[in-house]
Amino acid sequence: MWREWKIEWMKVQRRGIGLLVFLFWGVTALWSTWVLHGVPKSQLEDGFRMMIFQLPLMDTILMPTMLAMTASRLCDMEVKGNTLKLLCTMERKEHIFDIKLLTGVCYLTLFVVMQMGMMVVQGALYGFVGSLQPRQFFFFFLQIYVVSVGILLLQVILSFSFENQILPLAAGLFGSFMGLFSWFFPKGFLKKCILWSYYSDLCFMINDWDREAGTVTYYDAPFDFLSLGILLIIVAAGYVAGKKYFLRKEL
Amino acid sequence: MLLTCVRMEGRKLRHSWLWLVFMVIPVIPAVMGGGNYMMNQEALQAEWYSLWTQCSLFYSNFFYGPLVALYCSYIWRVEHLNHNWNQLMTMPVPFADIFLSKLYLALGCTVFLQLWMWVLFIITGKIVGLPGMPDLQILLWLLRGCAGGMGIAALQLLLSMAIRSFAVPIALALLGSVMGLLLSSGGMGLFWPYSLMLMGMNANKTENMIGNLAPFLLSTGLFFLLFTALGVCYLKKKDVRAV
Repeated sequence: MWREWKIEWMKVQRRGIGLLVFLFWGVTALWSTWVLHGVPKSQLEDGFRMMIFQLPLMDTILMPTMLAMTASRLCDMEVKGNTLKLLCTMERKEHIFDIKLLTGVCYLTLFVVMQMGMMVVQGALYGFVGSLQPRQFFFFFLQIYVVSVGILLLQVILSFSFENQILPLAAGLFGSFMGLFSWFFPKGFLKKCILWSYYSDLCFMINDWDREAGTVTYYDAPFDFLSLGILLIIVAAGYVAGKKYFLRKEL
Repeated sequence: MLLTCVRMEGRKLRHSWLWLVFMVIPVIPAVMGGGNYMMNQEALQAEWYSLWTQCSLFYSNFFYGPLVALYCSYIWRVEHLNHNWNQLMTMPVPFADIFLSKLYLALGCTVFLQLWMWVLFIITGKIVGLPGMPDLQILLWLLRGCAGGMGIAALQLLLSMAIRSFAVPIALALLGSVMGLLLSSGGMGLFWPYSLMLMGMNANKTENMIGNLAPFLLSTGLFFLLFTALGVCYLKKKDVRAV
């Protein structure tokens, strides 16, 4: 497995995936800075709570497309070159699937860590009052990371399934829309049925907009462990089913 | 020759499932806009104009760019595969016609998307119970959005030609669209092609975003000509790198 892992990283060299992930992070940084610029000083005191609410909203729009792009870049080199069959004569088929997924997870981890770092730096620059609590930091990580791993898994399966990459990419765009749409859904069964809506379902901040005063106040809400549990089950089942499908697929 | 090229490009897109993507994805912002309108009727009092703010918000800010990028990537994907670049470049066809025929299809896609948005907007309006038909001004905003989209279509076609990946130009379109939102909010929209679409569409605004049409049309025309010229030059100068 270690040999295959090293070979995979040699294959992704000069494919620009890291650069694009960095670009996505850069746009998130610019976007959140723009949001912070528009907020009155008095409201910046509660900046960490605001960021914990705003960043998942931005991720809902950007992540599905970023993950679709990552999965497509990782998988289409074999699909496009029609070398998957050749590769299977040298590597175990299940390892190919696992390593593609793990490579994608590495890029995802880099993105999420950079985003969390950005939040801390913005907190220092804009003078957020109070520190980011470890509990908030941990739940924020869970909220973004677990949902994104699920979406990445789906995208890897789709990218391996279709020679024509239009469907996986369209699924990414569809996911961005559905995810965004889901922020307007009431909490309940519907949110739990759509993978992309877990960004909003796992959100543990509530906002209260005072229209007359023009202020938004953020409150901590209990983290939804039930949704997290359901999501983990969906991801685990998706992994087993996706891998089984890949192993049985005629190349 | 150009017409023949357009016909051939159209033939390459047969059985591509593109129509399904373009029919389904715009339904979501329409539903989202309608739902938002229903939930905030107290604040949204301007009837068709208010509904327009909700429907155009997500479509022109985030999703038009990636959708047209998907189309452009698909148009060029055929050439990027199976040594087709070699064949394409040895055809007895002017380079400009190759690019312009693909551009023609991308512009057709933009017009189709806009018209489909108009149909969905009216259907949504009727479902949420709005009386009569929308003002002609909203239709003009939609057409202005078409003009704004031309620059994006030309740019995406150029990117999809130069970048041999299917996915990367789509990701760049999404990033460009987000930057477009930020720059248009900062008053710099005329200098960024992705902002022109949302400015033209008057996205999320009931008052007209473009007071004077001349700078907008000038910017749109300049970007369109610039990216088209770059695309044709790229085809002429750059050597083939077939897969």
